[in-house]
Amino acid sequence: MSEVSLAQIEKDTVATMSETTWRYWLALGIALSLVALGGWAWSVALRQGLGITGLNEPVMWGALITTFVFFIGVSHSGTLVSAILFFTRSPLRAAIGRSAEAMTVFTIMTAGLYPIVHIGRSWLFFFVLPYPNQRQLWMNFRSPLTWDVFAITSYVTVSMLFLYMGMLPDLALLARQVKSWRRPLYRVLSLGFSGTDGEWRIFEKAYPIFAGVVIPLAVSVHSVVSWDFAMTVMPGWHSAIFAPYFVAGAIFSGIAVAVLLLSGLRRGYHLERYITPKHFDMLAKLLLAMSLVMTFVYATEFFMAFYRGSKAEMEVFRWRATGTYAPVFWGVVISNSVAPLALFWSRARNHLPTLITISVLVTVGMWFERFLFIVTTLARSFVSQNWGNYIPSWKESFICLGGFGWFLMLFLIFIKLFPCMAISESMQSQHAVDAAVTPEASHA
Amino acid sequence: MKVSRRGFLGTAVGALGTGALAGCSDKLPRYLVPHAIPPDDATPGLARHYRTVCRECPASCGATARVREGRAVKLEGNPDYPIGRGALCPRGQASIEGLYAPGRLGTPRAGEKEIDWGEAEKQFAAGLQRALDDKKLVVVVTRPETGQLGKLFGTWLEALGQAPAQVVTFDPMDRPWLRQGQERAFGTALRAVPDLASAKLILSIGDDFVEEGSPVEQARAFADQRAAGGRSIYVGPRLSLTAAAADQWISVEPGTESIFVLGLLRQVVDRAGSRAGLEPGTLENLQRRLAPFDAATVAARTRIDPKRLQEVATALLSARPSLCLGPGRAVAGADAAALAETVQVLNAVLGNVGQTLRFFPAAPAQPSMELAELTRKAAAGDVGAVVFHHADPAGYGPVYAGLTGALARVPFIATFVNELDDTARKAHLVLPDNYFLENWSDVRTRPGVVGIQQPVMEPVLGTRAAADEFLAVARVLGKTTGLPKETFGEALRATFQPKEIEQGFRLEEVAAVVPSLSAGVLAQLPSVVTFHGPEQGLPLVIAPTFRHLDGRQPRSALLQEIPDPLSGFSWTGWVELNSTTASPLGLKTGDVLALEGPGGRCELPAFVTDSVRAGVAAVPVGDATALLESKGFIGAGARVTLRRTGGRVERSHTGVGGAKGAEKLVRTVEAPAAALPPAVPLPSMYPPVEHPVHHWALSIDLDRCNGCGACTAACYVENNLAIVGADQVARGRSMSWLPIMADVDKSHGTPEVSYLPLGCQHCTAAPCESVCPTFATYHTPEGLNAQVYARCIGTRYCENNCPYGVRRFNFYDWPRAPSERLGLNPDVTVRERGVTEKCTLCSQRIRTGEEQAKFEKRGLRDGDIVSACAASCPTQAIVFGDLKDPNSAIARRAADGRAYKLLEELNTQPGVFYLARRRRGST
Amino acid sequence: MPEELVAVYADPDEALRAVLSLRDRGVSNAQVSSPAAFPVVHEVEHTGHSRALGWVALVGGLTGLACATALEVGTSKALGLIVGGKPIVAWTAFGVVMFELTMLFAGASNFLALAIFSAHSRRKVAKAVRDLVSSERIVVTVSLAGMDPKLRDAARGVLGGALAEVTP
Repeated sequence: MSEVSLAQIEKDTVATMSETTWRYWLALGIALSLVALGGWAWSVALRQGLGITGLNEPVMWGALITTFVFFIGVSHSGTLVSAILFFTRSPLRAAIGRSAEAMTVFTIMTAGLYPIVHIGRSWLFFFVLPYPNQRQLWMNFRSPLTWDVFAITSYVTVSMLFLYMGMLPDLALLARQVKSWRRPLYRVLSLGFSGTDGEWRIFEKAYPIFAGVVIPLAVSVHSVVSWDFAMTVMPGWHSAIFAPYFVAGAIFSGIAVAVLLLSGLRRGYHLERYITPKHFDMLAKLLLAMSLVMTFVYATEFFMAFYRGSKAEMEVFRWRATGTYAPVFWGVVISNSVAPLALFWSRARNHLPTLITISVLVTVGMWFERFLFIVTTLARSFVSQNWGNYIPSWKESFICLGGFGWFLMLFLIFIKLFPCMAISESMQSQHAVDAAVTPEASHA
Repeated sequence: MKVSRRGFLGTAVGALGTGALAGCSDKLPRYLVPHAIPPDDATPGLARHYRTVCRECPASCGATARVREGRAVKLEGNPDYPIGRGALCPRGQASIEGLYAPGRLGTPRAGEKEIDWGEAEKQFAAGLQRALDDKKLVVVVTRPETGQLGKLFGTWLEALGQAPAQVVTFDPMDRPWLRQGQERAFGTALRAVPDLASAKLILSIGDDFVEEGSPVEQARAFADQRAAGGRSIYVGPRLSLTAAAADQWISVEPGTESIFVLGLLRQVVDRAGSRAGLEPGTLENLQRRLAPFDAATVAARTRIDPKRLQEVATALLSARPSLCLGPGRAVAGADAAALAETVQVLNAVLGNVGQTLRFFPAAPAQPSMELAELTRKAAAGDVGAVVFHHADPAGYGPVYAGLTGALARVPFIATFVNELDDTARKAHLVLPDNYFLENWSDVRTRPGVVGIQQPVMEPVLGTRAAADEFLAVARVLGKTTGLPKETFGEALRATFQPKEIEQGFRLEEVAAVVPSLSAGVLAQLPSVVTFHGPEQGLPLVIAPTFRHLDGRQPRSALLQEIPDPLSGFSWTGWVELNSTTASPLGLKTGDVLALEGPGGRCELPAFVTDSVRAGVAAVPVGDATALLESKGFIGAGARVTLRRTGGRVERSHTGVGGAKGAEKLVRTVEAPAAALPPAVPLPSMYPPVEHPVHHWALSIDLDRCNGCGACTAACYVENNLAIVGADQVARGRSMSWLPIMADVDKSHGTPEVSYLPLGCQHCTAAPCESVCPTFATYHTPEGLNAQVYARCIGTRYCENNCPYGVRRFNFYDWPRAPSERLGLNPDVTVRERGVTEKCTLCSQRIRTGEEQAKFEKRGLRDGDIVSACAASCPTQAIVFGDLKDPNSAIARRAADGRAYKLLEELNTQPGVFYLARRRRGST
Repeated sequence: MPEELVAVYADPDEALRAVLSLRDRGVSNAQVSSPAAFPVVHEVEHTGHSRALGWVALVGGLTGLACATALEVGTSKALGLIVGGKPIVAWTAFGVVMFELTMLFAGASNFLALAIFSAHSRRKVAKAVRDLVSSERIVVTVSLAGMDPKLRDAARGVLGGALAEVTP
C-alpha cells in the first residue's frame, strides 16, 4: 500500500460498489443457480420428508450437519481474526478486516440454515427458542443444541454489530459523498456518525471493548459446536480435545476461505494496491501453522483412541482409516496435512495460484474432515448390530451446494451495498505509513 | 417374491379404485364406532376381550382378541389354553393384519366381475347342480378343519347325494412322514404329543420345532427344558432358530441324516438294548439290521468325527429321559417315513415312550380323500365341481402342479378366501369368507382339547361365513338333509356351554397309550436322501421360517417387513450358501441368483454365511416351492443350480453383529456356573434418581430367547408401528421398536448364534434425554424414558447419543391404506414424519392397568400390567414388571446372577436388563 | 460576526500542525472533525463519556448473566423434568448459556452506549460543519463565543488560509 492518496482509497472502494463487471454477474449467476438448486431440493424435503436424504439408522446426522459445522468453522476466521489483528495493530486488518467480518456474518447466516433444514419439519424450529408461551414449555438447557442456539444467535448478533460498528465511519463518509439511492441509506445507517473528535474518542474506546467481547465469544461458539459431539457418549466424539480441535479447524478453514475471497476481490476489483502479496504471505503462514496444529490433532485422536483401549473407540478409528471411507480419510490427510506443507517455501506462499490451490484443497478437505468424524462415529458406534453406512443423496448434496451459493450470493450483494474495505481505517493506516516514511511531516 | 411396500399399496389402492368404479367405494365402514347403538355393556374407550383361536396355522393356539369400539385391534394368547398358554408366535401376532388388509375381498366375484351375494349363491347353486346333473363328483378342498366344520362338509356332501369322503384336507405344511413313521414303528395310528420340557436331552434330527409344528408351546417347553438344565443337540444342514437355540449343532453330509440316526441307534442298542425292555425277537432283529452301521462306517459316510457319534450316544444314554424328534422338513426326503420310524425306535429303545413322548389314540378318522386321488379324478374328468375352502394349491407352483393342471378340466370351481390367491384367480366363483376373527368354528388339534373360535367383531366388509354359504346353497338346491336349520354359528354355539365359550376351549378326558415297538420294525431301513434335479446342482434345503409362512400368498406385509434375524433380508426370500461354497463363485450377500430346480426356477438374493453346511443351498419354504417337483409334500430331495443374474438386493445393514473388535452385547455363562462376575457400581457426580412409587422395567432372558420375533410383531401391532416397505428397510429405516439382533460368535469353531431383542433400555441416566433441546424425551418418575411426540422437532440428536441405537425416525409420513387405519390401536398415537419414536414400555398398557386397579380400589399386583412383547413371548424370555415390588417376577430376575445390563460401563443405568445365555459347549 | 472559526484541511498533518499551534498559542477549545482517526483527533481536549463505556459493558454483561441464570433456573424448576439423571438445576450445564448471554449483553450494551454517547458528543459541533467532512476534508473549528479577543486573533492567524465560510 504505497503512494496512495487518501482520496484514492475512497475512490477505489466506492468503485467496488458502483462498477459491476461481467465477472461479478457470472459469480452472482453461479451463486443464484446454486441457491435455486438447493432451494428446490429443500422444498422437496419439506414436502416429502427427510427420506429424500441418505440418512438412515444409525447415521442420523450427515451432510447437512457437516455443512453446518463447516460454515460455523469458516465463520471463525472472520470476526476472530479481525479482532485479533485489531489488538495486534496489524496493518493487514485495514485491507482484509471488512471482508473477513462480512464473511463471518454470512457464513453464520448460512450455517444457521442447516439445522433448520436438517430437522425436516423446519417450521417447528421455534421450539428451541425461549419464547413465553401459554403451555409454559421451555427448552432444555442441558442440551448442547440449546447451547448452540444461544451461542450462535449471540455470535451472529455480536458479529453483525462488530461489522456494523467498524463500518460506521465509512458509512458516515459515504453518506456525504455518494449520490443516488445510497445516500439516504447510508445516512440512516451511519447513525449520525460524523467524525468529531469526541466521537472518535468514544469509538476508539468502545471498539476494543467490543473486540474483547468478540474473541471469547468466537472461541466459545466453535467450542459449543464441538460439544454437540463431545458431550455425547459416542466413541470418537466423546473427547476433551474437541473444543480446541474445532477452534483450530475453524480458523484453518476460515483462512482458506478468506484467501479465496480476497484473491477474488483483488482480481475482480483491481485492489492489488491494498491486498498485497505480503498479505497473502501472512495468511499463508497462518494457514501453514494451523495445518500443523490440525495434523497434531489428528495424530492425537488416533493415539488417544488406542491408548485408552476402548473397543468401540478403537473400532471407530480403525474403520475411519481403513473402512468404507478410507479414501476420503486419506484424501483429507493429503489436503489438510500434506499439501499445506508446501507453504514452508516462500515461493509457494508468494505464488498466488499455488496458494489458491492449497486453499481450495483445505476448504474441501475441511468439509470432508467434518463429514468423516460425524459419519464414522455414527456408523460404527457401540452396538455392532447397528453398524451401518451412509452416502448423501443427490438432493441432500444439492442442499449443501445451495449453502455455498447462498453464502456467495450474500457476500456478492454485500460488496455492492457496502464498502468491502475499511475506508476510514485504511486512510488512517495509510497516513501512519506515510508518516513513518517521512517522519518530519508530522510533529514538525 | 419381492414386493415393495409402495408397489403393494399401489396395487391395493388400484384395487380400491376399481372397486369405486363398481360402486363399492363404500365397502369400508364409514363410522368411527361401528355400533349405531352400542351394546349396554360396552363403554367407548374401554377394551373388551374375547377368547378365540388363532387360525394362522394348524397348531391353533388359544387367542384373546382385544376389541375397542367394536373392532379387534390386537391378538394376545389365551393364558388358560393348553396350546400356547398365553403366547402367540409372530404369525399369530400378524394375523390381525389380515382383518384389515387392503387386499381383502368384500364382495363375491364371478371371474373378474363383482357380483352381489344373491347372484353368487345362484351361480354357486347352478355350478353344483350342473355337476350333479352330469353325475360328476363334487369335492370340497379345505384347509385342516378338525372340528365341526370339517364334519359339516361331509354332511353337506352327503345331502347333495355325494360321498361324505369327498373332502380333501389341503395342508401344504403337513409332515405326513411323521405319522407314517409312528404307524410303522408301533403298528397303529397314533397321535404323538412330545413333552420337551421334561427331557434331559433333546435330539432333533432336522426338526425345527421352534419354527413349525406347534411352535409356541414347543418353544416354551424347550426354554423350560434348558432352564432346568437340559441339553439339546440338533442334527441338520442349517443353523435354524431351533439349531441356534440348541447347545450343539451337528451337520452331516446332506441327505445322510438317516445313516447318522442308524449309527446312533446301533450304539444305543449295543450299549443299552438289553435293558430297554424290548421283546427278544425285536432286539435281535434290530441288532442284525443295524450291524453294518458301525461308528467308522457312519462317520465316513456322514463325514463327521467318529468320536462325535459316540459322544451323542453317550449323552443320550446318560440323560434319561431324553427325546428324539424328527426328521424335520429340512432333512425329510422321499424315504422320510422310514427315518421317522427309526427315530421312534430310538425313542423306544431309550425308554422315552410314555415318558417324554406321550401317545394318544388317533381321533376316529374322518373319511377323506387324498389329494392325489382328487388329482387323478379331476384329470380324468370325473369331477364336476370343486369347492376350495382356504386352500390354494395353485399358489404352490410345481408342488401341486398335477392338481392345478387338472383343475382346467373341472367345469365349476368355487373358492372361499379372504384375499385373492392363485387358485381364486382360476376359480369361476370367488366367495369372500369372514376372517377367522369374524367367524364361529372349533378346532381339535390336540387329543382332549377343543378350541372354540368365536367371532370377536362384526365383519369389517360385506363378507359372509363360508359355512353359512354352504348351508344357503344347499337350501337353494333343496338338499338340506342332516344340515342345521339355523346358521352354522348358532348350531356350533349350542354345542358348548357359555362358560366354555368364555374361556375359549373345552377339555375332554383322553387316556394316553403306551405303545410298544412292532415286531417287524425297521423291516426297511431308511435310505439316504436322493437329490433330483440338475446334475451339477447343490442339494436344496428347505428352511422353515416364521416370516415366509407356509408360502401362502399374498403374504403378510408385517411379516415381510420384519427381517429374518440372521440373514437380515426382508420383503424377499434368500438362498443361504456357505462361504466356502460361495466364495469360489465370487458371490457376495445380496447378489441375485437364478435358481433352477427340478420343478421350476426363481430368483433370490444370496446370503453368504457360515450358518449353513457347505455344499448345500437353503431356501425358505415359501420361495422353495417354486423349485420343487410335484411330490405332494414340501421337503428335501431337490437339487438346484445357481446362476448369477448380475442383480443386487440390498438388505438392511443393521441386525447382525458380533464382529471381531466389537463390544460384546450378548454375555454368556459357562454352565453349570450360574453367575456373571458382579458388576462394579460406577461413581456418579450426581445424586441417584429416585423412583418414588414404581420403576417399570423389562428383563430379557437370552437363554430363553430363540429369536422368533413374536415380540417384534406384537410391538408393531400394539404400537401402530409403520410398515415402511422393502426399499426403506434396506436403507436401514425400519421402524421396529424391538428388533431382534443376532450375535454371531465364531470363536468356538462352529458359529454360535444368540438372539438379542434390542429395544429402548429405559436408562435412568439416559444420554438421549439430556441432549434433546426441547425436552421431548425425559425420565418419568415411574422409570420410563418417555418420548413426547408433540415436542419432538426431529433434531435426531437423541438417536445419535443413544449408545444402543434403538431410536427410530419417521423419514416420511408412512403410507397406510384406509382399511389399515381401522386396525390401529386407538390408545397409541400415530407418529407423523419428522418425529423420533422408540419403545415406550407400552405406557398405554401401564396407564390402563393403573386405572383398572384404581377403579377396582386396590393396589397394582405383579402381572396386572404386561407389555405387548412380554405378553407375546412364547418362551417367556421377556418379563415386564415393577422393580420396586420386591416380590415381582422381575425383581427375582434382577437378583439372578446372570442379570446384566448392556454397556454397563457407560453408566447409563438401564431399566432393561438381560440374563446371560448359558453356554454348555459341545458334549 | 461569526461565532465560530471553521478551517478545512486536506492533509491530516496540516490539520495536526494547525491544532498544535493553536494549543501553543493558548487556544484550547479547538475541535476536529475527521474522516478517520488521524493523530490530530487525539490532540484536542476531550470532554466525553468514553470512560463510562467499560462500566456500561460490565453492567450489560452482568445483566445478561442474571437473565440467563433466571431463565435457566426458573424454567428448569417450572418444568421439573429429570433428564439424563441430572439434577433439575444443573449448574455445570447451565454455564454455557450464562457465558453466551453475558457476552451478548455486554456487546450489545457497548454498541448502544457507543451510539448514544456519540450522538450526545457530536452535538458540540454544528451540523453544517460536520457535513463538511470528507475523505479530503478535515475540519478544525474554534468557537469564538466568550473568547479573549487576543486569542481570537491568534486562532484566526493560525487557521488563516484554511478558513472556510459556513452558512449554518
